[in-house]
Amino acid sequence: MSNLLIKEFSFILVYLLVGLGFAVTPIVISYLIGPVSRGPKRDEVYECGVETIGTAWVQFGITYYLFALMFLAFDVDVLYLFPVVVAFGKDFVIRDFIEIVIFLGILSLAIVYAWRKGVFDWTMK
Amino acid sequence: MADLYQKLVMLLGDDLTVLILGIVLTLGFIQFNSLFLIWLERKVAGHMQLRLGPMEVGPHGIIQTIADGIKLVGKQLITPRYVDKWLFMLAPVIVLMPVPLAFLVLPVHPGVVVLDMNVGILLIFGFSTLNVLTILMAGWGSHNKYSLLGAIRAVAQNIAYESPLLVTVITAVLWARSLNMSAIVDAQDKIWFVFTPWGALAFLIFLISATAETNRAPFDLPEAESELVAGFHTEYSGMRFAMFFLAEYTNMFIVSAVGVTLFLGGWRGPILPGFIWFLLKSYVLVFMFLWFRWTFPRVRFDQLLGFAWKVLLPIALVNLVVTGGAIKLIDLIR
Amino acid sequence: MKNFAFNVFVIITLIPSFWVALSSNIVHAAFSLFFTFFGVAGLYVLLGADFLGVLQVLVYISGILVLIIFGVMMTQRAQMEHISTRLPGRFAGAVLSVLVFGGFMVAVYKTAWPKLTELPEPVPTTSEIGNLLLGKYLIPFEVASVLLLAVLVGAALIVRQSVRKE
Repeated sequence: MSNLLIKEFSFILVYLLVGLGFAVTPIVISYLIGPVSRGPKRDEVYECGVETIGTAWVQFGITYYLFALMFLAFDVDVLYLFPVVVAFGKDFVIRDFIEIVIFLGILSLAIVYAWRKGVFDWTMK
Repeated sequence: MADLYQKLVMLLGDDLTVLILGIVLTLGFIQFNSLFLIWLERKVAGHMQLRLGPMEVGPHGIIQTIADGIKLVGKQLITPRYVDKWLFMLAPVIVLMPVPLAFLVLPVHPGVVVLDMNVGILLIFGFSTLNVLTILMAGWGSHNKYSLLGAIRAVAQNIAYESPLLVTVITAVLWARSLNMSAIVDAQDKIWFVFTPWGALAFLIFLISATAETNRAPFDLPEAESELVAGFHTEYSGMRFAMFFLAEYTNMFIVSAVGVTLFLGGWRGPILPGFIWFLLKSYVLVFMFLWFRWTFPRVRFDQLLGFAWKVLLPIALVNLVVTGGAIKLIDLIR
Repeated sequence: MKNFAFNVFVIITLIPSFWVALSSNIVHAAFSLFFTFFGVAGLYVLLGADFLGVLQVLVYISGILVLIIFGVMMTQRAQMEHISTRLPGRFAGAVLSVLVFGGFMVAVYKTAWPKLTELPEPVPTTSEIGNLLLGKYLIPFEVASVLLLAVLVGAALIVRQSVRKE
């Protein structure tokens, strides 16, 4: 393991820990000096003043899940592109351009398909 | 200044000095930035509606936010009865954890960057997506209908606009052919990326996606006051609420600074020193976000998602191909 | 130094994994995967694969984990019914896990790993990966996009069916 890598690694780690401390400290201070009031209504769920009915942990539409799935596939796709565009045009003449066009072309078929099937149209119930 | 820096280097060594200075400046800047931005937002909002905004504390209300901050520290941290305690308490901490990391790799001045990392731009985007997770944590943990609805909307919106955003980032990376932030700025020494036709289009898409990513109006459905109270942070009070606020305003600056680095030439500019240009450009972008808020009405949810998938993403993909072709053409002409 | 960091990240990876298996609260189980994925990303970076480490954060934490949590939240009454982590046939399960674990350990110790006395200097991996994807591994690269296309089409099909049923 090279020195540069150790440096990168420890810098990132220290910054994350600093971020953690930066978030925890004011909350702890506030916890220590903040007033404590009590009352029967203090811990109630906020729902604009009326009594809450039922649980908030309910099921929601499956369309959200589909959008998450679409995103994941695109995310992975796009991440394939990151190393490819960095290497773009260095050792190849025109071949790499054609390769990327094919890759994106196949990917675009997914958008076309989903569009034609009406996935992007929000279904109202 | 230079003298002091030399002494520190002698005492602590190169890396440690840079690290400590970086942390001090980053934390100081995060504090300053959110205090300033909250004040600015209220002022801009006021003047755009022909009001004055905060005027009482300090000249033109300039220390109003500090007063608000002190007030927030002295507020009780209320944990409602039915919450999922672990998730509820972790969310405001984890939301702030990745925020300083962006300042680690942002080049703010010629040759000044805390860590010149090879995959700098990916580091920023990798960790900024933790935001989605904390929103889900807060929304589910709060056990509140508004919170959950707001959180799910926020996540659907964030991931919808993440795709076009990443594609435009790739377009900029393709132009610079590097993931290193400093190298991306260096690649724009002849012409800023935004001044090429494909760069301008990519910048436009970046700006729209970034507005949506930061949950700003007109894409502020997750916190639509008129229907969802405050969205995923409805149940948070006092300092925990402040943490979400702090992260939100810092993320606004970060996304602007990333836009400046990718498209507007980073610290480049005539006469004035580099870091002034960097801050100036970033705050111009931030001001645009504030301006959007009071100019455009809120969009509907189906319009929001449809726009990301049907308009922005296809245009961004085509633009990426055009940029690749343009690079090849330029290489051929040379 | 490196061994210490390695051990720390192994602990960060393993403890939440146990929580995933043992917690009776399915939402907590899903969220604790966050720390597992994070620890794995740290391990990648420790091994000199900085690009892969960042990708781990981007894909697993923002993509797959969100998907898992959405899935969990969509299960009927995720919070109300505490899932039982005690299954019938505990004895058979214990025997089976010991056997699987033993098998892995034998495999690990029998394999003749290539021994490096000194790790090669890590080079910037990103550009190298890109070159390989465009040259040597072109076919897998293009096939990957076909695979992702299949995923998207499949997802669209399944959801359309379930929407129609409602």
